Amino acid sequence: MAEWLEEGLVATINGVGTVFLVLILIAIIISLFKYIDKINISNLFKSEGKKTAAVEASQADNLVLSTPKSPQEDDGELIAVIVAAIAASLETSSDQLQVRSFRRINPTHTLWNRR
Amino acid sequence: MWETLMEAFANFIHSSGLYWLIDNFSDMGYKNLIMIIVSLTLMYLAIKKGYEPLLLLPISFGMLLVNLPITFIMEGAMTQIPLPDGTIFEFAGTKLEAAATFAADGPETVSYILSQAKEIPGGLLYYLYYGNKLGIFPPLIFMGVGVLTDFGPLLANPKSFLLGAAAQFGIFLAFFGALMLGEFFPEFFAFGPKEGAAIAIIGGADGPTAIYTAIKLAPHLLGPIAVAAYSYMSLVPIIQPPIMRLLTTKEERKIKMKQLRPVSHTEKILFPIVVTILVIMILPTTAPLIGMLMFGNLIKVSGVTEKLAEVASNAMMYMITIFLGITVGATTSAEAFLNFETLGILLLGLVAFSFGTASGVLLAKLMNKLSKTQINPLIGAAGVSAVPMAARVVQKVGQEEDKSNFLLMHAMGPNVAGVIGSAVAAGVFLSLFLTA
Repeated sequence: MAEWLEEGLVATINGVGTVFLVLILIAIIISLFKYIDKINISNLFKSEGKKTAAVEASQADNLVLSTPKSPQEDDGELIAVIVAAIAASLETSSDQLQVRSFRRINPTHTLWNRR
Repeated sequence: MWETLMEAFANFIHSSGLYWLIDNFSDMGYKNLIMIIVSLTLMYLAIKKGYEPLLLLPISFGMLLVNLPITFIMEGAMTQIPLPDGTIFEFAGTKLEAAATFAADGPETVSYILSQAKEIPGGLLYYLYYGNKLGIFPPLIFMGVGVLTDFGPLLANPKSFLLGAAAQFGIFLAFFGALMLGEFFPEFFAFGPKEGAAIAIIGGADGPTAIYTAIKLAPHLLGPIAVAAYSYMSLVPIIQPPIMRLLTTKEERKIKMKQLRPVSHTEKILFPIVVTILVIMILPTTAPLIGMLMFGNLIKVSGVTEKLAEVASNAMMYMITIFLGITVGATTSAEAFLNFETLGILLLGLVAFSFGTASGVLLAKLMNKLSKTQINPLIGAAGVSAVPMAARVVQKVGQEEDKSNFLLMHAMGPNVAGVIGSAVAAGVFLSLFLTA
């Protein structure tokens, strides 16, 4: 067989073989991932459940709501929006901010109305 | 006074690039002029037509700079050695290299060169090119690509890996083609296995991988290979659809695929780590490419290094893209670009691309026949990487048959598997030919 042909064949078989071998190996391992996850999920949920409860409790401590609010308003949502806006303008993430007090300023008392 | 002024003016004219161009027109100048026109055409395609502008624009500008006459912007250092008779001997290289070259003439010559010779530093792009020459830029770009790549669709459907592998057939076919051209037309194409491998990787449709392989195996062909790789990548929407339509039936193109399962955060974090260990253990030569790609992905999915991910995929990637593009463009000097080899590279690149697409589609067809769940054969075409363009092409061709068919996410699986596949193929070539 001509040398170039032999060289080409060897490289091609080698190459195609290795590419398939490596990618099939990864594929097999990846397809096992879903089982790993299933085993973990039950544990994760338990610990994560505790964690979220704890986080909620600490957040509740931090939120000192000093104004009486109208019952139809969802303050949690409003606070989240405000915190996100402040975080965006300060270029930080919202978990760096702590809401200590939250109070609505009476709209009639804006600077424009003060004489 | 008048004469001195005229002489100075004449000297100025003689040292200008325009004079050189006219003076050497029939010899070299016309080639430079052709290359300037080629670079302007590429610039037009990048700016007006939007063909891969992020890379084609820096490449074409580098091409322009290096082909403007006597800029020496891509030339290395030069040493001027004053000879006893008053003339100056010019040595292409640094002072140390000059001294080493003439070391046989005795220690006096060496000390004379070191004390009397004057070293003129090389051009700007010559030094910037070291980032390419040493194989630094392409892996760093790959890191940014890793940040931007979502391996989720691949994790949800691991079978996609087969399609990513199948589409690499084109690479090996082009490799064969290159060896054949080198064997039967040696007067036109000086293609050995190294050159063949570097050219064939164009079919991987992956810029950084192609550039990296070319630098390692056939640096003298880097310019045409990079230009061919990026041109074809931008032509994916034109090259692929006819092949996809030819190899599939109307019914096959209409196949709707089952929705992908959601992928957990843990899986996404495990993936880059497992792939890095596995692939590099098998093919150590892939460490720079796969290593950086997976590192980039890990800093994003881990969720704890957002800032690193942001820098790697934005500021840093754009910076390196500028350096890489302009220095790759600078390798396309007239003598390196205007020859039959460039034509051969363009032809082989097209072969690699087309056959990669075809083999991906054909394997997907086969998988559709064998698999319990239906697979739309079109998604095989996305295996050639060219992320995310090839996946978008699949989506478009699929929707031509059925407006309500959404193949994009299904095509992203083979698409990102193709990136890993072509890096592995490059690794195979490097391990076969780097030391040979």
